[in-house]
Amino acid sequence: MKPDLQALCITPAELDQLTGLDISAVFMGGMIRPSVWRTRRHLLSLLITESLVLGTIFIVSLGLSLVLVRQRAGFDQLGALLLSVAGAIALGAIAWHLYQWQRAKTFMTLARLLDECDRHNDIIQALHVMDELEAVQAIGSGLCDRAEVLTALQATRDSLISALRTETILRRHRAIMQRQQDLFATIETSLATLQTLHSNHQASEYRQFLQEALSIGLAVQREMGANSKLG
Amino acid sequence: MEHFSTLILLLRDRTTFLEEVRQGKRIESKILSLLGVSALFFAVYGAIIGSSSGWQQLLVSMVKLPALYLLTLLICLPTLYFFDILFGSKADFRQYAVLSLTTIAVISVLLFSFAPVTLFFLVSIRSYHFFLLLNVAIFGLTGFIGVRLFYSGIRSVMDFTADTPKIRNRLLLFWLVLYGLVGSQLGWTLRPFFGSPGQPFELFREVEGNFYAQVITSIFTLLFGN
Repeated sequence: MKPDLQALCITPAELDQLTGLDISAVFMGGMIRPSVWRTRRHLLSLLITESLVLGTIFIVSLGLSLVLVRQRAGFDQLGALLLSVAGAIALGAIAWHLYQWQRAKTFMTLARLLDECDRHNDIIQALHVMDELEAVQAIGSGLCDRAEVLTALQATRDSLISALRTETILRRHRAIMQRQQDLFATIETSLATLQTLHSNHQASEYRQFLQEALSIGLAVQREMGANSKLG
Repeated sequence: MEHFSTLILLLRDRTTFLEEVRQGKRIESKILSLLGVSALFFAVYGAIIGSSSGWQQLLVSMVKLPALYLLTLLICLPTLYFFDILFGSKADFRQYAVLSLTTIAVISVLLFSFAPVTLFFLVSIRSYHFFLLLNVAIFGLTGFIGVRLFYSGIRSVMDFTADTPKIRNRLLLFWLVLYGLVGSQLGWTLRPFFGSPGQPFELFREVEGNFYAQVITSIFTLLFGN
Protein backbone atom coordinates (compact mmCIF):
# COMPACT_ATOMS: atom_id res chain seq x y z
CA MET A 1 0.00 0.00 0.00
CA LYS A 2 1.26 3.50 -0.89
CA PRO A 3 2.35 5.61 2.08
CA ASP A 4 -0.36 8.25 1.52
CA LEU A 5 -3.06 5.58 1.70
CA GLN A 6 -1.36 3.89 4.61
CA ALA A 7 -1.41 7.17 6.53
CA LEU A 8 -5.17 7.49 5.97
CA CYS A 9 -6.03 4.09 7.45
CA ILE A 10 -7.50 4.00 10.94
CA THR A 11 -5.53 1.13 12.43
CA PRO A 12 -6.81 -1.24 15.16
CA ALA A 13 -4.12 0.12 17.52
CA GLU A 14 -5.42 3.65 16.90
CA LEU A 15 -8.99 2.52 17.56
CA ASP A 16 -7.91 0.89 20.83
CA GLN A 17 -6.15 4.06 21.88
CA LEU A 18 -8.99 6.41 20.85
CA THR A 19 -11.76 4.40 22.46
CA GLY A 20 -9.81 3.03 25.43
CA LEU A 21 -11.26 -0.41 24.65
CA ASP A 22 -10.21 -3.65 22.95
CA ILE A 23 -11.69 -3.25 19.48
CA SER A 24 -11.92 -6.16 17.06
CA ALA A 25 -14.22 -7.09 14.19
CA VAL A 26 -16.47 -8.94 16.63
CA PHE A 27 -16.09 -7.24 20.02
CA MET A 28 -15.76 -3.71 21.35
CA GLY A 29 -14.49 -3.88 24.91
CA GLY A 30 -16.22 -7.16 25.70
CA MET A 31 -19.47 -6.08 24.00
CA ILE A 32 -20.63 -7.78 20.81
CA ARG A 33 -20.63 -5.35 17.87
CA PRO A 34 -24.08 -5.16 16.20
CA SER A 35 -22.39 -5.41 12.78
CA VAL A 36 -21.55 -9.05 13.64
CA TRP A 37 -25.13 -10.06 12.86
CA ARG A 38 -24.82 -8.64 9.32
CA THR A 39 -21.62 -10.44 8.24
CA ARG A 40 -21.50 -14.21 8.04
CA ARG A 41 -17.73 -14.36 8.60
CA HIS A 42 -17.92 -12.30 11.78
CA LEU A 43 -20.91 -14.28 12.99
CA LEU A 44 -18.91 -17.47 12.54
CA SER A 45 -16.01 -15.91 14.44
CA LEU A 46 -18.39 -15.00 17.29
CA LEU A 47 -19.81 -18.52 17.38
CA ILE A 48 -16.31 -20.04 17.50
CA THR A 49 -15.26 -17.67 20.30
CA GLU A 50 -18.41 -18.40 22.31
CA SER A 51 -18.00 -22.15 21.79
CA LEU A 52 -14.36 -21.98 22.92
CA VAL A 53 -15.21 -19.95 26.01
CA LEU A 54 -18.24 -22.06 26.96
CA GLY A 55 -16.25 -25.24 26.31
CA THR A 56 -13.42 -24.02 28.54
CA ILE A 57 -15.81 -22.99 31.30
CA PHE A 58 -17.52 -26.39 31.01
CA ILE A 59 -14.20 -28.24 31.27
CA VAL A 60 -13.00 -26.24 34.28
CA SER A 61 -16.37 -26.45 36.05
CA LEU A 62 -16.68 -30.17 35.40
CA GLY A 63 -13.09 -30.74 36.56
CA LEU A 64 -13.78 -28.82 39.75
CA SER A 65 -17.05 -30.70 40.32
CA LEU A 66 -15.26 -34.03 39.82
CA VAL A 67 -12.64 -33.08 42.41
CA LEU A 68 -15.43 -32.14 44.84
CA VAL A 69 -17.64 -35.21 44.31
CA ARG A 70 -14.57 -37.43 44.58
CA GLN A 71 -14.76 -36.92 48.34
CA ARG A 72 -18.21 -38.61 48.40
CA ALA A 73 -17.88 -42.37 48.57
CA GLY A 74 -19.84 -44.37 46.00
CA PHE A 75 -20.65 -41.47 43.68
CA ASP A 76 -22.16 -42.86 40.49
CA GLN A 77 -24.39 -40.09 39.15
CA LEU A 78 -22.08 -38.74 36.46
CA GLY A 79 -25.04 -38.04 34.16
CA ALA A 80 -26.73 -35.81 36.76
CA LEU A 81 -23.43 -33.99 37.39
CA LEU A 82 -22.94 -33.37 33.65
CA LEU A 83 -26.49 -32.05 33.32
CA SER A 84 -26.12 -29.76 36.35
CA VAL A 85 -22.85 -28.26 35.09
CA ALA A 86 -24.19 -27.84 31.54
CA GLY A 87 -27.43 -26.29 32.89
CA ALA A 88 -25.55 -23.82 35.09
CA ILE A 89 -23.33 -22.80 32.17
CA ALA A 90 -26.35 -22.40 29.86
CA LEU A 91 -28.02 -20.14 32.46
CA GLY A 92 -24.79 -18.14 32.77
CA ALA A 93 -24.62 -17.74 28.99
CA ILE A 94 -28.23 -16.49 28.87
CA ALA A 95 -27.53 -14.03 31.70
CA TRP A 96 -24.44 -12.76 29.87
CA HIS A 97 -26.41 -12.16 26.66
CA LEU A 98 -29.13 -10.35 28.62
CA TYR A 99 -26.45 -8.15 30.18
CA GLN A 100 -25.06 -7.45 26.71
CA TRP A 101 -28.51 -6.51 25.47
CA GLN A 102 -29.03 -4.19 28.43
CA ARG A 103 -25.70 -2.40 27.90
CA ALA A 104 -26.06 -2.23 24.11
CA LYS A 105 -27.70 1.24 24.25
CA THR A 106 -24.60 2.76 25.87
CA PHE A 107 -22.39 1.45 23.09
CA MET A 108 -24.72 2.21 20.18
CA THR A 109 -22.93 5.41 19.12
CA LEU A 110 -19.55 3.74 19.34
CA ALA A 111 -20.81 0.79 17.28
CA ARG A 112 -22.01 3.14 14.53
CA LEU A 113 -18.73 5.06 14.53
CA LEU A 114 -16.76 1.82 14.31
CA ASP A 115 -18.88 0.73 11.35
CA GLU A 116 -18.05 4.05 9.69
CA CYS A 117 -14.35 3.44 10.40
CA ASP A 118 -14.65 0.05 8.73
CA ARG A 119 -16.27 1.66 5.70
CA HIS A 120 -13.50 4.26 5.59
CA ASN A 121 -10.84 1.53 5.68
CA ASP A 122 -12.72 -0.42 2.99
CA ILE A 123 -12.58 2.62 0.67
CA ILE A 124 -8.83 2.88 1.27
CA GLN A 125 -8.48 -0.82 0.48
CA ALA A 126 -10.44 -0.30 -2.76
CA LEU A 127 -8.16 2.62 -3.69
CA HIS A 128 -5.16 0.38 -3.03
CA VAL A 129 -6.57 -2.22 -5.43
CA MET A 130 -7.13 0.51 -8.05
CA ASP A 131 -3.53 1.70 -7.58
CA GLU A 132 -2.28 -1.84 -8.17
CA LEU A 133 -4.44 -2.23 -11.28
CA GLU A 134 -3.23 1.11 -12.61
CA ALA A 135 0.36 0.08 -12.00
CA VAL A 136 -0.15 -3.15 -13.98
CA GLN A 137 -2.08 -1.52 -16.83
CA ALA A 138 0.17 1.59 -16.86
CA ILE A 139 -2.81 3.97 -16.75
CA GLY A 140 -2.14 7.33 -15.16
CA SER A 141 -5.40 9.14 -15.90
CA GLY A 142 -7.06 9.10 -12.48
CA LEU A 143 -4.35 11.10 -10.72
CA CYS A 144 -6.40 14.29 -10.24
CA ASP A 145 -9.47 12.34 -9.02
CA ARG A 146 -7.26 10.38 -6.68
CA ALA A 147 -5.94 13.54 -5.06
CA GLU A 148 -9.49 14.76 -4.50
CA VAL A 149 -10.55 11.44 -3.03
CA LEU A 150 -7.54 11.52 -0.70
CA THR A 151 -8.47 15.02 0.49
CA ALA A 152 -12.02 13.86 1.14
CA LEU A 153 -10.75 10.78 2.99
CA GLN A 154 -8.45 12.93 5.11
CA ALA A 155 -11.45 15.04 6.12
CA THR A 156 -13.47 11.88 6.88
CA ARG A 157 -10.61 10.50 8.93
CA ASP A 158 -10.30 13.71 10.95
CA SER A 159 -14.01 13.82 11.71
CA LEU A 160 -14.12 10.12 12.62
CA ILE A 161 -11.21 10.51 15.03
CA SER A 162 -12.75 13.61 16.53
CA ALA A 163 -16.11 11.83 16.91
CA LEU A 164 -14.45 8.79 18.53
CA ARG A 165 -12.63 11.03 21.01
CA THR A 166 -15.87 12.85 21.89
CA GLU A 167 -17.74 9.57 22.28
CA THR A 168 -15.03 8.22 24.60
CA ILE A 169 -15.22 11.30 26.82
CA LEU A 170 -19.02 11.19 26.95
CA ARG A 171 -19.02 7.44 27.66
CA ARG A 172 -16.43 7.75 30.42
CA HIS A 173 -18.35 10.57 32.08
CA ARG A 174 -21.79 9.13 31.48
CA ALA A 175 -22.68 9.29 35.17
CA ILE A 176 -21.72 12.96 35.30
CA MET A 177 -23.67 13.69 32.13
CA GLN A 178 -26.67 12.03 33.74
CA ARG A 179 -26.23 14.15 36.86
CA GLN A 180 -25.88 17.22 34.68
CA GLN A 181 -29.59 17.04 33.78
CA ASP A 182 -30.52 17.20 37.49
CA LEU A 183 -27.98 19.95 38.03
CA PHE A 184 -29.45 21.92 35.17
CA ALA A 185 -32.94 21.67 36.67
CA THR A 186 -31.59 22.93 40.02
CA ILE A 187 -29.87 25.86 38.33
CA GLU A 188 -33.09 26.80 36.52
CA THR A 189 -34.97 26.83 39.86
CA SER A 190 -32.25 28.87 41.58
CA LEU A 191 -32.22 31.32 38.71
CA ALA A 192 -35.98 31.81 38.91
CA THR A 193 -35.60 32.51 42.65
CA LEU A 194 -32.81 34.99 41.96
CA GLN A 195 -34.89 36.81 39.35
CA THR A 196 -37.83 37.09 41.78
CA LEU A 197 -35.52 38.43 44.50
CA HIS A 198 -33.98 40.87 42.01
CA SER A 199 -37.32 42.35 41.03
CA ASN A 200 -38.35 42.58 44.70
CA HIS A 201 -35.17 44.46 45.74
CA GLN A 202 -34.72 46.83 42.81
CA ALA A 203 -34.12 49.81 45.11
CA SER A 204 -32.37 48.18 48.01
CA GLU A 205 -28.62 48.02 48.79
CA TYR A 206 -28.65 44.32 48.01
CA ARG A 207 -29.40 45.08 44.40
CA GLN A 208 -25.76 44.97 43.34
CA PHE A 209 -25.17 41.58 44.99
CA LEU A 210 -28.28 40.19 43.42
CA GLN A 211 -27.20 41.56 40.05
CA GLU A 212 -23.87 39.74 40.48
CA ALA A 213 -25.58 36.53 41.53
CA LEU A 214 -27.97 36.78 38.59
CA SER A 215 -25.14 37.32 36.13
CA ILE A 216 -23.25 34.30 37.56
CA GLY A 217 -26.43 32.25 37.38
CA LEU A 218 -26.97 33.25 33.74
CA ALA A 219 -23.35 32.41 32.87
CA VAL A 220 -23.65 28.98 34.48
CA GLN A 221 -26.93 28.35 32.67
CA ARG A 222 -25.30 29.37 29.37
CA GLU A 223 -22.34 26.99 29.93
CA MET A 224 -24.47 24.08 31.01
CA GLY A 225 -26.79 24.66 28.07
CA ALA A 226 -23.82 24.45 25.71
CA ASN A 227 -22.63 21.28 27.45
CA SER A 228 -26.03 19.63 27.36
CA LYS A 229 -26.20 20.27 23.60
CA LEU A 230 -22.82 18.56 23.34
CA GLY A 231 -24.09 15.59 25.39
CA MET B 1 -8.57 -17.05 13.26
CA GLU B 2 -7.85 -14.27 15.71
CA HIS B 3 -7.34 -16.63 18.66
CA PHE B 4 -4.65 -18.64 16.93
CA SER B 5 -2.90 -15.46 15.74
CA THR B 6 -2.49 -14.39 19.39
CA LEU B 7 -0.80 -17.72 20.09
CA ILE B 8 1.37 -17.41 16.99
CA LEU B 9 2.42 -13.92 18.12
CA LEU B 10 3.38 -15.37 21.51
CA LEU B 11 5.43 -18.15 19.91
CA ARG B 12 7.04 -16.16 17.09
CA ASP B 13 7.56 -12.76 18.63
CA ARG B 14 7.60 -13.02 22.40
CA THR B 15 9.26 -9.62 22.79
CA THR B 16 6.36 -7.82 21.08
CA PHE B 17 3.83 -9.94 22.97
CA LEU B 18 5.42 -9.16 26.34
CA GLU B 19 5.75 -5.48 25.43
CA GLU B 20 2.01 -5.37 24.68
CA VAL B 21 1.31 -7.03 28.03
CA ARG B 22 3.53 -4.48 29.78
CA GLN B 23 1.61 -1.65 28.11
CA GLY B 24 -1.72 -3.29 28.90
CA LYS B 25 -2.70 -3.59 25.22
CA ARG B 26 -5.53 -5.97 24.28
CA ILE B 27 -5.25 -7.86 27.54
CA GLU B 28 -8.83 -9.20 27.58
CA SER B 29 -8.61 -10.59 24.07
CA LYS B 30 -5.24 -12.18 24.88
CA ILE B 31 -6.71 -13.86 27.97
CA LEU B 32 -9.68 -15.12 25.96
CA SER B 33 -7.56 -16.44 23.10
CA LEU B 34 -4.91 -18.15 25.23
CA LEU B 35 -7.53 -19.72 27.46
CA GLY B 36 -9.59 -21.12 24.58
CA VAL B 37 -6.68 -22.32 22.48
CA SER B 38 -4.90 -23.95 25.45
CA ALA B 39 -8.07 -25.80 26.50
CA LEU B 40 -8.48 -27.05 22.94
CA PHE B 41 -4.90 -28.37 22.65
CA PHE B 42 -5.00 -29.97 26.10
CA ALA B 43 -8.30 -31.65 25.19
CA VAL B 44 -6.72 -33.11 22.04
CA TYR B 45 -3.71 -34.46 23.94
CA GLY B 46 -5.98 -35.71 26.72
CA ALA B 47 -8.01 -37.61 24.13
CA ILE B 48 -4.84 -39.24 22.78
CA ILE B 49 -3.57 -40.46 26.16
CA GLY B 50 -7.07 -41.53 27.20
CA SER B 51 -7.59 -43.50 23.99
CA SER B 52 -5.10 -46.09 25.29
CA SER B 53 -7.94 -47.46 27.49
CA GLY B 54 -11.10 -47.11 25.40
CA TRP B 55 -13.60 -44.45 24.42
CA GLN B 56 -14.89 -43.71 27.93
CA GLN B 57 -11.40 -42.91 29.17
CA LEU B 58 -10.83 -40.86 26.00
CA LEU B 59 -13.82 -38.63 26.78
CA VAL B 60 -12.96 -38.28 30.46
CA SER B 61 -9.28 -37.48 29.79
CA MET B 62 -10.39 -34.87 27.24
CA VAL B 63 -11.96 -33.01 30.16
CA LYS B 64 -9.51 -33.95 32.90
CA LEU B 65 -6.28 -32.80 31.26
CA PRO B 66 -7.38 -29.20 30.44
CA ALA B 67 -9.12 -29.03 33.82
CA LEU B 68 -5.89 -30.07 35.55
CA TYR B 69 -3.83 -27.24 34.05
CA LEU B 70 -6.50 -24.55 34.25
CA LEU B 71 -7.57 -25.41 37.81
CA THR B 72 -3.92 -25.43 38.96
CA LEU B 73 -3.60 -21.92 37.56
CA LEU B 74 -6.88 -20.82 39.12
CA ILE B 75 -5.72 -22.10 42.52
CA CYS B 76 -2.22 -20.59 42.37
CA LEU B 77 -2.72 -17.26 40.58
CA PRO B 78 -4.16 -15.25 43.52
CA THR B 79 -1.13 -16.23 45.66
CA LEU B 80 1.28 -14.86 43.07
CA TYR B 81 -0.70 -11.66 42.51
CA PHE B 82 -1.33 -10.69 46.14
CA PHE B 83 2.18 -11.54 47.36
CA ASP B 84 3.81 -9.72 44.46
CA ILE B 85 1.79 -6.51 44.86
CA LEU B 86 2.50 -6.66 48.58
CA PHE B 87 6.22 -6.48 47.78
CA GLY B 88 6.00 -3.61 45.31
CA SER B 89 4.62 -4.82 41.99
CA LYS B 90 2.57 -2.24 40.05
CA ALA B 91 1.04 -4.68 37.54
CA ASP B 92 -2.66 -5.45 37.59
CA PHE B 93 -4.35 -8.83 37.95
CA ARG B 94 -5.10 -9.13 34.24
CA GLN B 95 -1.39 -8.82 33.40
CA TYR B 96 -0.59 -11.64 35.83
CA ALA B 97 -3.40 -13.69 34.31
CA VAL B 98 -2.02 -13.24 30.78
CA LEU B 99 1.52 -14.04 31.86
CA SER B 100 0.52 -17.22 33.63
CA LEU B 101 -1.70 -18.17 30.71
CA THR B 102 1.33 -17.89 28.43
CA THR B 103 2.85 -20.77 30.46
CA ILE B 104 -0.26 -22.86 29.98
CA ALA B 105 -0.46 -21.96 26.28
CA VAL B 106 3.19 -22.85 25.63
CA ILE B 107 2.79 -26.18 27.46
CA SER B 108 -0.38 -26.97 25.52
CA VAL B 109 1.26 -26.22 22.17
CA LEU B 110 4.30 -28.32 23.05
CA LEU B 111 2.07 -31.21 24.15
CA PHE B 112 0.12 -30.85 20.90
CA SER B 113 3.39 -30.98 18.97
CA PHE B 114 4.27 -34.22 20.81
CA ALA B 115 0.89 -35.74 19.91
CA PRO B 116 2.12 -37.62 16.79
CA VAL B 117 5.04 -39.10 18.79
CA THR B 118 2.72 -40.20 21.60
CA LEU B 119 0.27 -41.61 19.09
CA PHE B 120 3.08 -43.52 17.37
CA PHE B 121 4.20 -45.17 20.63
CA LEU B 122 0.59 -45.80 21.60
CA VAL B 123 -0.02 -47.92 18.49
CA SER B 124 3.43 -49.50 18.25
CA ILE B 125 4.27 -50.45 21.87
CA ARG B 126 1.74 -52.12 24.16
CA SER B 127 3.46 -51.41 27.46
CA TYR B 128 1.48 -49.49 30.05
CA HIS B 129 4.54 -48.55 32.13
CA PHE B 130 6.55 -47.38 29.10
CA PHE B 131 3.62 -45.28 27.89
CA LEU B 132 3.21 -43.86 31.38
CA LEU B 133 6.89 -42.95 31.74
CA LEU B 134 7.03 -41.55 28.21
CA ASN B 135 4.19 -39.21 29.11
CA VAL B 136 5.73 -38.30 32.44
CA ALA B 137 8.86 -37.31 30.47
CA ILE B 138 6.80 -35.33 27.95
CA PHE B 139 4.79 -33.57 30.67
CA GLY B 140 7.99 -32.86 32.61
CA LEU B 141 9.82 -31.43 29.61
CA THR B 142 6.91 -29.28 28.39
CA GLY B 143 6.23 -28.08 31.94
CA PHE B 144 9.88 -27.14 32.42
CA ILE B 145 9.99 -25.15 29.17
CA GLY B 146 6.65 -23.43 29.94
CA VAL B 147 7.70 -22.46 33.46
CA ARG B 148 11.10 -21.24 32.27
CA LEU B 149 9.47 -18.99 29.67
CA PHE B 150 7.04 -17.71 32.31
CA TYR B 151 9.93 -16.92 34.67
CA SER B 152 11.83 -14.90 32.05
CA GLY B 153 8.57 -13.32 30.81
CA ILE B 154 7.42 -12.09 34.19
CA ARG B 155 10.88 -10.72 35.00
CA SER B 156 10.84 -8.82 31.72
CA VAL B 157 7.29 -7.43 32.04
CA MET B 158 7.66 -6.50 35.71
CA ASP B 159 11.02 -4.80 34.97
CA PHE B 160 13.13 -6.86 37.36
CA THR B 161 16.45 -5.01 37.74
CA ALA B 162 19.34 -5.02 40.22
CA ASP B 163 17.31 -2.57 42.35
CA THR B 164 14.27 -4.85 42.54
CA PRO B 165 13.91 -6.29 46.06
CA LYS B 166 15.40 -9.79 46.17
CA ILE B 167 12.34 -11.04 47.98
CA ARG B 168 10.28 -10.63 44.81
CA ASN B 169 12.55 -12.98 42.89
CA ARG B 170 12.53 -15.49 45.76
CA LEU B 171 8.77 -15.21 45.91
CA LEU B 172 8.53 -15.95 42.20
CA LEU B 173 10.70 -19.05 42.57
CA PHE B 174 8.67 -20.16 45.59
CA TRP B 175 5.49 -19.72 43.56
CA LEU B 176 6.85 -21.89 40.75
CA VAL B 177 7.58 -24.68 43.26
CA LEU B 178 4.09 -24.24 44.72
CA TYR B 179 2.60 -24.37 41.22
CA GLY B 180 4.40 -27.66 40.56
CA LEU B 181 3.28 -29.16 43.87
CA VAL B 182 -0.37 -28.12 43.43
CA GLY B 183 -0.32 -29.38 39.84
CA SER B 184 1.10 -32.79 40.71
CA GLN B 185 -1.28 -33.22 43.67
CA LEU B 186 -4.30 -32.20 41.57
CA GLY B 187 -3.15 -34.56 38.84
CA TRP B 188 -2.93 -37.35 41.41
CA THR B 189 -6.44 -36.50 42.65
CA LEU B 190 -7.93 -36.46 39.15
CA ARG B 191 -6.30 -39.71 37.93
CA PRO B 192 -6.67 -41.95 36.02
CA PHE B 193 -5.75 -40.11 32.83
CA PHE B 194 -4.50 -43.23 31.06
CA GLY B 195 -6.62 -46.00 32.53
CA SER B 196 -5.16 -49.33 33.59
CA PRO B 197 -4.66 -52.17 31.10
CA GLY B 198 -7.23 -54.95 31.48
CA GLN B 199 -9.19 -53.02 34.11
CA PRO B 200 -12.78 -51.76 33.63
CA PHE B 201 -13.32 -48.01 33.19
CA GLU B 202 -13.26 -46.03 36.40
CA LEU B 203 -13.83 -42.32 36.86
CA PHE B 204 -11.44 -42.09 39.82
CA ARG B 205 -8.97 -44.27 41.61
CA GLU B 206 -8.59 -44.59 45.33
CA VAL B 207 -6.30 -41.90 46.75
CA GLU B 208 -3.25 -43.92 47.74
CA GLY B 209 0.48 -43.12 47.74
CA ASN B 210 1.58 -40.12 45.74
CA PHE B 211 2.66 -39.10 42.27
CA TYR B 212 6.41 -39.46 42.89
CA ALA B 213 6.09 -42.94 44.46
CA GLN B 214 4.10 -44.09 41.43
CA VAL B 215 6.79 -42.82 39.01
CA ILE B 216 9.50 -44.71 40.93
CA THR B 217 7.33 -47.88 40.94
CA SER B 218 6.87 -47.59 37.17
CA ILE B 219 10.61 -47.20 36.58
CA PHE B 220 11.35 -50.31 38.67
CA THR B 221 8.58 -52.31 36.96
CA LEU B 222 9.88 -51.31 33.52
CA LEU B 223 13.48 -52.19 34.38
CA PHE B 224 13.07 -55.33 36.49
CA GLY B 225 9.57 -56.57 35.70
CA ASN B 226 6.80 -57.12 38.27
